[in-house]
Amino acid sequence: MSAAVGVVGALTGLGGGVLLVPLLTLGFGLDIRTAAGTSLLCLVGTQVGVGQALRGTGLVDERAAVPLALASLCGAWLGAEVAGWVPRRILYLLFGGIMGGTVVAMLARPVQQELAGPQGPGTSAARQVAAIASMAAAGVLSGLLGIGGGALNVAVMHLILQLPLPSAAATSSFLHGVKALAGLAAYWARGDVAPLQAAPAVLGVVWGSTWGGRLLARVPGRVVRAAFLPLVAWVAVQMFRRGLQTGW
Amino acid sequence: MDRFAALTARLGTLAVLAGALGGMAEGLETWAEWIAGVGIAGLICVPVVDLLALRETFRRRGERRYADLTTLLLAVLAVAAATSVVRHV
Repeated sequence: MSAAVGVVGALTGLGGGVLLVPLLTLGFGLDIRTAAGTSLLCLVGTQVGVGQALRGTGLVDERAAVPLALASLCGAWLGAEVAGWVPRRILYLLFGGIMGGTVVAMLARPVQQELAGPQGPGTSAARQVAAIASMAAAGVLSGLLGIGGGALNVAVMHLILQLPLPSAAATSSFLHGVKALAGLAAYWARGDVAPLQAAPAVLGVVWGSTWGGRLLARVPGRVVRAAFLPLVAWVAVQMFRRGLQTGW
Repeated sequence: MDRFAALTARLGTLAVLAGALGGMAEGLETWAEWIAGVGIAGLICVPVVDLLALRETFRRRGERRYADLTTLLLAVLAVAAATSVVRHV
């Protein structure tokens, strides 16, 4: 199962935390903190697998990845600091709205334009600044809610930086690993990462994401789009549902 | 550095596999847990080694601005991890 999560996570750039935490808690009876620690570890595993599969292919846009990772990390850090000040209901609804908007924006654009790379030579400075600001804001949201970073990463890179979807998904997997490391340290030090319990999940994710990475380098962008859109729509619905269920 | 990252990833995966298999054998649980822990620690090092490799690549290409940004990213990562450990443990 974790191998399947790895394939999907690598192929879409979503990481898989949204799928893994419920799987580990509801399916295997792990404590929520152990499941969250294992999920972070699996995000690192996704980066390891995708990195092995895509090393030297140029699919990961390194120049875009570094400033975006920095913005996202600072945003997530800030998000964790201000957690508790902002009503969660608003955050869930806002997150769901952004994800819903992403689906609508992608559906509204013609498929050929959707699958194309950057228009014209290079990405303009204005788009880069907008992407960095959006990634910092996305980092704050995902830091506050603890999930959903992957969907926002891919949306920002694809819609604002106009990276092709496979490249956005590969670059997003790179960002996951970096961001997960910061949170993982605390879980590890607290003893919430149980090596024997985590080992099968990590192995599955590393192998699955290696296969997912190889697929990502070969499959057409429309396949990635077909996998990405329903998952983001599902995340949007889940966020709205939680927003409506959560109190002020 | 790229080769080192690939080697660390493979050795880490092998150690996690050995730990997972050892965990199924009776009487080997402590050893298996230790080996799996070492493997997982190895896998955790891979993104950091990847970032160091990326910094070297930027330096080789003469893209100093990106190399400096990568150094900053590594520093922020270290501070964020340390702060998180101090606060939550």
